[in-house]
Order: sequence, then C-alpha cells, then structure tokens
Amino acid sequence: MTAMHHLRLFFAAACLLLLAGTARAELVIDITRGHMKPLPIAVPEFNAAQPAQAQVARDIAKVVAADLERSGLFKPIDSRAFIQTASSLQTGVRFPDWKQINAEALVQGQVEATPDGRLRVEFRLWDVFAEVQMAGQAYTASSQGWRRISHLIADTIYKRMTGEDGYFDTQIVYIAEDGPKSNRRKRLAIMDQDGENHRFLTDGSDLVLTPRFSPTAREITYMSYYRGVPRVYIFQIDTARRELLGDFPGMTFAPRFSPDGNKVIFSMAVDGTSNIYEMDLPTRRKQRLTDSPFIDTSPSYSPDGSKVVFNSDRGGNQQIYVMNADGSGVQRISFGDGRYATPVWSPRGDLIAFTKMKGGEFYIGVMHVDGSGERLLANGFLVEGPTWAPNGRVLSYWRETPSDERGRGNSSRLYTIDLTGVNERQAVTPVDGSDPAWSPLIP
Amino acid sequence: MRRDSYIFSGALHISIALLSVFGLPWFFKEPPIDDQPIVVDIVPLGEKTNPPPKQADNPQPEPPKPEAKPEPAKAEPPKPTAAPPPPPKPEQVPLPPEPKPAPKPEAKPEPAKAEPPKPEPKPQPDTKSKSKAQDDLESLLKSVDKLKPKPKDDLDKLLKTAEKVKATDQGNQPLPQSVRGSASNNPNEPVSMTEIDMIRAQIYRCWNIPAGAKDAANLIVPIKVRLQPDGTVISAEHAGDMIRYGTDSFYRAAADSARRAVLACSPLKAPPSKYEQWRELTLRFNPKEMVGQ
Repeated sequence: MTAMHHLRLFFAAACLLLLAGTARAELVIDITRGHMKPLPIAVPEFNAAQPAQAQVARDIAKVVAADLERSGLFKPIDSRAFIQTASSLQTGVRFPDWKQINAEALVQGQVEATPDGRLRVEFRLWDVFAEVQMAGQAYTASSQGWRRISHLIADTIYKRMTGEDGYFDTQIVYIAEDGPKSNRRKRLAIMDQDGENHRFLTDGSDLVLTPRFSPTAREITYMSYYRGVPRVYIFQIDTARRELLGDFPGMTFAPRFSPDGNKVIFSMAVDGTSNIYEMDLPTRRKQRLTDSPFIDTSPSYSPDGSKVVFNSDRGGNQQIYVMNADGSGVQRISFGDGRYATPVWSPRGDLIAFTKMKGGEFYIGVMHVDGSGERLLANGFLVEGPTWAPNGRVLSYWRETPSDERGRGNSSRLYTIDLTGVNERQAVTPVDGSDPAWSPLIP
Repeated sequence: MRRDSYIFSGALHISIALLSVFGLPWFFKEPPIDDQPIVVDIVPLGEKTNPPPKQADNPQPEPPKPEAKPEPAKAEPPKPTAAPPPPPKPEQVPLPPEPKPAPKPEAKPEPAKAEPPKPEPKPQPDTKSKSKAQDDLESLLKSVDKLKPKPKDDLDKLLKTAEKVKATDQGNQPLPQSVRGSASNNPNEPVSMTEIDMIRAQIYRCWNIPAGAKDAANLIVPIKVRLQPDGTVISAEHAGDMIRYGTDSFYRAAADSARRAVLACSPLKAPPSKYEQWRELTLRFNPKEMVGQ
C-alpha cells in the first residue's frame, strides 16, 4: 500500500466522520424563566350520594377552596365560570371544558353516608392539561368531623401541588382580649386556623399569658397569675382539664415544650438576672442551662431538640443567641442594629423567626440559623410574637394599632404572613387577640 | 530661567491631573454587558436574534382616548433618517393630523395580525446612544432579581403590555413605548429572533413556577416534547430522574409544573419550514433564577 493510498483512505474516513457528525442532534432548550402566580384551581361542589348530604358536600368544597385561597398559592376559579357542571363530573371529567377556563387542577369529590351514620368523603385531584389523576383519597368520620376532612383534603392538595407539607389541619391558641384598655379582660381561646370552631378556654377572672402547644397538639401550657404569683398550667384540650405545673416566682414567659414532649424550657428572673431552665416533666426536676448575670430569656428548641435559641443582653443589647441543649456552646447569631426578641425555631429547622425593634418601629423577621440572610417580613407600630405553622412556611403574629388622639381605635389583631413576605392576612377572631401559638398538625 | 521651569512644572502637573481624572476610569470600566435580550414579542425569524434598536427614554404615553385609536404618544427619537420612512400601510387607520414630520404606524390592540410583518431590508437609521450605561432591559432584569424574596409581577406586566402591542414594522419606525430596545441591535439586519428564542419566549409565558421551593438550586427538570408540524404538542414527558420524581415532593411539583407549562402552551408557534429541527425537543426547566432563598 502506497503512502498515497493511505492518504486517500484517511481522507475518505475523515469525510465519513464529518458527514456522520452533521447528523441532527436533538434540540435542547433551557427554560430559566417563568412567572409565579397563584395556581388556578377549580373546586366544584362535591357530589352528594344522597340529598341529605348535599349541604355538607357544598360546605366541604367551600372550606377546601377557602383554605387553598388563604395560603396565597392558589386561586380557586369562580364557580360561575365552570362549563361542565359539578353533577356531571360523576360520569366523567370533560377536560377540554376545564382547559378552556384555564384551570390547571381540578378537585372532584363525593360525599355519602355510611350505614352506621358516619360520613365518607372521597376526592380526586386531576391535572387538567395532562389529563391524569394526581391524588385521590377517602376519609371516614363522624358527621361533625366534616371540617377536619376538608382541611385534610386541602393539605393533600397543597402537598401534591407545591411539594410542601400542608398546614390546614391545625389550630391556633391565643389570648383573646376585650374591654377598655384600663380594664382588659384576657381569656384563653382556641380556634381552627381558618377562624372556625372558636371557643374560650378560661373565663377571664385570672390574667393569662403566652399559651404554647405541646408536640401532640392536644395540650397547652400557659401562664396565669394567682394572687400575684406566676404559675404555669397544662391544659388538656380534649378533656378541658387543667393541671398545675407549679408556681414559678419570677417567670415571665410560659414554658415551651421540647420536640419529644418530655421537657419544658423556660426562663426565670431571680434577683435582677434572668436565666434559662429546663424541667423534666415526668420527674419535675429542674436544671439550669445558662448562668450569667445578664437577662437570658425567651428560649425555643430546635426541631431535633439538640439546640436552643434564646435572646440575651449579655453583649450589650438584646440579641439572639444559640446554644446546645445542655447549655454549652453559647454563640451569638444576630448582629444587626436594634433589639431582637422572642426567637422561635422553624419546624423545618432552617430558619429562626424573631421580633425586632429599631427606630421606634417593630418588625417580624427571619434569619438562617447561623444569623445570615436576615429578612424582615412585616412591620408596624407594634408587631410581635411570631409563631410558625407546622410546615415552616407561614408565620402568625399579632399587630397592635395605636389609638388615635382621642384615645380610640386601639386594637390588637392576629395576622398571618407567608415566608416570602407576601400574603399578609388578618386572622378572623371575634374580639381582639394577641400572643398566638400555632399547633402542630393534629394527629 | 526659573519662570520657565515653573511654567513647565505647572503644565506637567495639569496634564497629569487631567489624565488621571479622565483617563484612569478607563482602566476600571467594565466590559460591555453581554446583552441577552428578553424577547417579549414574536417577531419574524431570522438567522439570529436581533432585537429592536434601543431608544432614548420616551415620555409616558397619553391615556388612551376611548373612541379614538389608542395611540401612545411617542417622542420622535432624534434619528437622522437615511432613507425615507416607508409609506403607511393601507390597512392602518388614518392618523389624526400631527405636527410631527414622519407618519407613524399605529399600534393597534386588535388582533390585526392578519398581515405578517414583512421584514424590511431598509437600513435602519443609526441608533443613537448605544450607551453602555444602564440598559432599560438590564435594569428590569436586575430589579426582578432583587425581588426574589417578594416575587412581583413586573416582568409579567411587561409581557402583558407587549402582548397588546401589534408587532410593528421593523425598520425606522419608532417603537411603541412598551417595547424596549437593546444595545446589541445590529442596524443592518431586520429585527428577528431564532426559533429557539421564539419557543423559549412562549414557554416563559406558560410556566407557573411553584413558589418557595426548597433547594431551588437543584431543581433542573428535563421534559421531552414531541410536536406536530403545526406546533401542537403530541406528548410532553418528564425525562429526568424517575426515582427522584417518586420520592422528592418538591421535584415532583416542579416537574409537574414544567409538564403543565408545555401542554398549556400548545400549539407552539415555530416555523414549519424548519420542522425537522424542532419536532423533538428537550426542554430543561430551571427555576433557579426565579426562586431565591
């Protein structure tokens, strides 16, 4: 084989390779932008198997739609725009009808009574454009439990569409206030997170403060003054029984439960200083965690129970500190201007919410657990006391508006806000309220 | 002799001062920003994406009169017109008499897209002020970035207003107020965009991103799309990690939103002549830019 031959061979091979290379490669396009809008979702009336359930079927759909809308992430479509009627859904979903009104998701449900007089609710969540079912569940409960079923359905839809755990099957406990400012009556009150099922737990004869939920969501601790001495009660929600945890002279905030429910953590002021203590509930043994001549107060556990966040003025002014659950390794994490108070660790473990006072204004903010990324979400004349919803996505707090020059108009209301800082909403309460605490998901 | 040396010294001092005041910043000037234009309107296809020319800032348009044609008031950008502007097209509504010299095309809100805008091969007037200073588009991008914790819809508003604007003739007509030009305009070519940018622009409008997701940096979702020649989506399937789809609820939410976006956007507008190029696509959805933590 001559060199020329080799060369021709090589040339031919190169041509072939080149030709092969020009074969079409599949087109890949990067999509890096879109928009963030509330997801349009259609929640038609649930279908009632018997006419007696028709009202419940309508109510369940209404509560589900209200929950989703309140989260700020969904936009239930007005039922007057529906093309396919709710009743005809039973025979089959006509997807083009729902595509036409731009519903990205559709909730279809059915309610029937079981032979033993209970309620059975089943629902399906449809992806309208892909024409597939995304979720489906059936629930059975007593006929009074239809609200909880609605919240559970809303939680399932929320989780499937956003990936986040829901928070609709929860309750909020707070201090309901009424009466003139000089003679305020404060009562412990509890309600569903949508404001329904509201009831008062105490009668207002004693001053009550700072309620907190236990991890089981079935108990509340709160502080009350008895003959001037602060004492801590544990209140069983289901039985309405109240148990005295003890008298704690010098206590300023009610204790918080540890994530496993066996311990409570609190601060006590003794001789001008305030330190953090932990009490083991079964044995009632107290252990002191901080030992400084300064004011350490408002402690809160991390969701895994290994760390505690609190505020202290040992650095000169009120700032936020993190330490191990045994009291060691105290580290300051907030360094901004102003005063930081009431830190609470998010149930997701990634953020700490706090109250900040600066320049005469109050703020509710969040920061990462190392203190970075501080973001202020709400501000006002007085906003205080953030509490996390169990999915770590929504916060509740209370906002006080000052009275005008004639001394009227002073009010104190509960608010909720999304972690992104949008969707600030007032929670519906019968009278003024303060000091909210959000329950975990009800088991 | 001493006076001469004073004069010389003074001149040297002044020249060095002048040099440092005017010359030194040249060292610290940033390289020109590589302009990635946001395409908000569907304009004719071409070999590359050539956005409309950047205009001087225009005053706000007058509020549209109810019965009259909603005509945005435009300040005539001071452009020396090399060629006479093209005569107004016959279907355009006659303009009210104006003191301005050049007739302007109407930006009609009606879907009068019957006449596809012809790319005019006229040389455009030299665009003034291709200033490397703040590009309107760049500042819009930056403000959208800053708004990550509070996602606002500025971009959406821009998209919406641009949608109402008819795709006007390219060439030397000044553009409607809501169309912002770009400094990377090549005045010698008609305004155009590639097929890729055209498809991208449509998907941008359809994609509703789940907000506040955790680990948004890690949420790249590939969707395999097959299309008919008229742009109808035959199928849009998640082509990524199926195990992750089954276990990571955030990834699944993002993947579903991506698939929904493609299906909702059907039919896609793309040039039928190049069907072989875009009949099978992989779209990589990446919400990182939009979702901040």
